[in-house]
Amino acid sequence: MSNERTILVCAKETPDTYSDLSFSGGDVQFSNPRPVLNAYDASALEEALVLSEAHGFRVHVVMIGPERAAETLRKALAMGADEATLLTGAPEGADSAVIATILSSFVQQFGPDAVIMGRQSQDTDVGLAGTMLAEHLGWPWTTNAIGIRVEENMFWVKRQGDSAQESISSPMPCLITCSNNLNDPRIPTLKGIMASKKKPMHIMGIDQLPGGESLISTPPSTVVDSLTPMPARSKGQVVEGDLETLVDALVKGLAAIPETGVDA
Amino acid sequence: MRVCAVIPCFQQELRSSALEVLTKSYSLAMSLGEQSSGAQSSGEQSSGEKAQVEAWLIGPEAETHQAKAAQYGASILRLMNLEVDADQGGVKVSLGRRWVDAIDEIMTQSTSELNSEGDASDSTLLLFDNTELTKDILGACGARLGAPVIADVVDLSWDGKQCIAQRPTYASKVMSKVITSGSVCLCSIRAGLFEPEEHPVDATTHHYSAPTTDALGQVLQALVAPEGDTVDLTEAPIIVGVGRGISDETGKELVAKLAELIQGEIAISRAHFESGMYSHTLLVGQSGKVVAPRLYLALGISGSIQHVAGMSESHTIIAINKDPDAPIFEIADVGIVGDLYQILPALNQALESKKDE
Ligand SMILES: Cc1cc2nc3c(=O)[nH]c(=O)nc-3n(C[C@H](O)[C@H](O)[C@H](O)COP(=O)(O)OP(=O)(O)OC[C@H]3O[C@@H](n4cnc5c(N)ncnc54)[C@H](O)[C@@H]3O)c2cc1C
Repeated sequence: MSNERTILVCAKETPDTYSDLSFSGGDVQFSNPRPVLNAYDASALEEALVLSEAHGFRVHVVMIGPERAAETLRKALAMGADEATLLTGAPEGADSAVIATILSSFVQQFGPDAVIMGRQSQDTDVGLAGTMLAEHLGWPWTTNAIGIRVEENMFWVKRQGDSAQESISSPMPCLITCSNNLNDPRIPTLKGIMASKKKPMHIMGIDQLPGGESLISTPPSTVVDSLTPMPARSKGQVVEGDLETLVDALVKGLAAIPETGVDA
Repeated sequence: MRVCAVIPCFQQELRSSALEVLTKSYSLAMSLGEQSSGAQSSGEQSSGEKAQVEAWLIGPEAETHQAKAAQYGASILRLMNLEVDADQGGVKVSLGRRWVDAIDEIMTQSTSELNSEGDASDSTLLLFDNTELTKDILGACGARLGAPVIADVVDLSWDGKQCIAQRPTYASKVMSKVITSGSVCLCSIRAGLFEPEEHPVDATTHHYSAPTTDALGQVLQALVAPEGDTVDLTEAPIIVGVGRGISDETGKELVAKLAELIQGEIAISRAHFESGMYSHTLLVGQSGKVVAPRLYLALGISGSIQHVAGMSESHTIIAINKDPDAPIFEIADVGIVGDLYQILPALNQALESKKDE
């Protein structure tokens, strides 16, 4: 390996949760059967590519998933990542803790200057893997980034907090999780897609990582027991008509809620 | 058995999400059997059946919130001041790492205290609210304590061994039942779902000093706090959600007037995260805040599933949109089809003249 600095982007594929959803036998199906790159990870990758253009980082994407996920990972290469690794053979029902432990083993072996990843997964919205990984690595972390720049060998992250934006500087190596409000991920160009076919993609069993045997045999500590449809809100009345009709309906609607202070 | 509400104490006022966490902690402890009276010395209590409600008050205002925590049912108060890394316009923030160290320290100290008092507890549940602060540390805390974590739950039961949680997934279209067990479990609970209830108890107080945190070279350089009052959207009973349908200063003024007239707080869709017309802290949705107000008034919001994931638990939804096929109408209790720039001036006038009556 050269002494080029590297950003490692951790990404996952998820079902296309924005397509229509149906239940069959306690399991969820989406009308679009093709998995997608998790939107938050796409933002992480976009930011890594922008930083790479400005500062010459090498961008490597790692994904844990079945062999089939190589197709999604290829899209990351088509967006512009230099290299990718697919880690296969994750234990059934792997939860955030299991994923973070596997990634930790990979990151320690790989030795990037920064890990950038989505702040959560768009399917489960759990959002724990990032800081679990940082804690395992003993690295400083910053979550929910809405702006990232590199200056004086430090990562400067603007993070969206509860009531203020926090600007936090971290030396390398560090870990950053991204909000999707950070950027709009690029769509791969035809040229990018062609180029991606020649870029290195490594497929590696998790059991090949340091501590691999225990990585694949540790059972997850949290288990999804069942999935059920959320009771959908029922459609209310829809009012069309002239301005007076609309305003009347609104005033009535507002007056029905005592907290508005609007008299009936 | 211990149920511990972890309460950040950075402001003079306790967030209502903190009171909800206390309330939920109390009801979990109650459901486990008889609640310790708190007046007795802890030495007289046998471990086993009983569950203690503890409040871990962490931050510069820890002392301030003692009485409130006891009023909401915590019989053991564990207080720790925390170094503040930045303070801007009343908003105080500490680095995530300090939080993890603080929680780890209280866990270690309190466990050894209980052990030496012959009051060892075999299981502990730590409950958090679901703010960005919590999201910044929850995973790291779980990893540090070697404990399982369930994030963003809307319902929870615990028998001292097993923790059974309900949490929405797939953009809040599916409820997922998640089970975990461990001697220590961590859970964060969604705001706005557990009505705060008072259960006054006599509390005993324990003080801890904050451990020295190695920030690993990390520095909180600056805070940009929004101007004016910092509203906590998760507490607002009336929310006026503003979407792309409001596109200029005229529209913004109309909305401000309406919000004032109905005592509402303003929230935004992602469209206005991009427009820069409003503070970013007001974002509601999958990547923003999750709210459950009495009324959510959606103005020019199409009803994308990412936005809806943040407001579908609202008690009542009223929507104004010029597109009769806008998805927001599928979930609105009252849907008004029309142009905001015509409706809002007339509505504001109608509300004003009602006030004058
Ligand atoms: C991973 C991910 C996470 C996301 N997270 C969030 C999130 O947390 N929150 C969020 O809000 N979005 C989020 N989004 C973005 C989301 O998909 C939508 O793009 C966004 O919510 C759209 O905002 P909007 O409804 O204001 O705008 P639009 O979808 O553009 O809708 C504007 C609406 O206004 C109506 N309108 C226009 N002019 C008028 C008028 N004069 N009078 C009346 N009606 C009018 C139109 O008919 C339209 O329905 C996320 C997206 C992704 C991919």
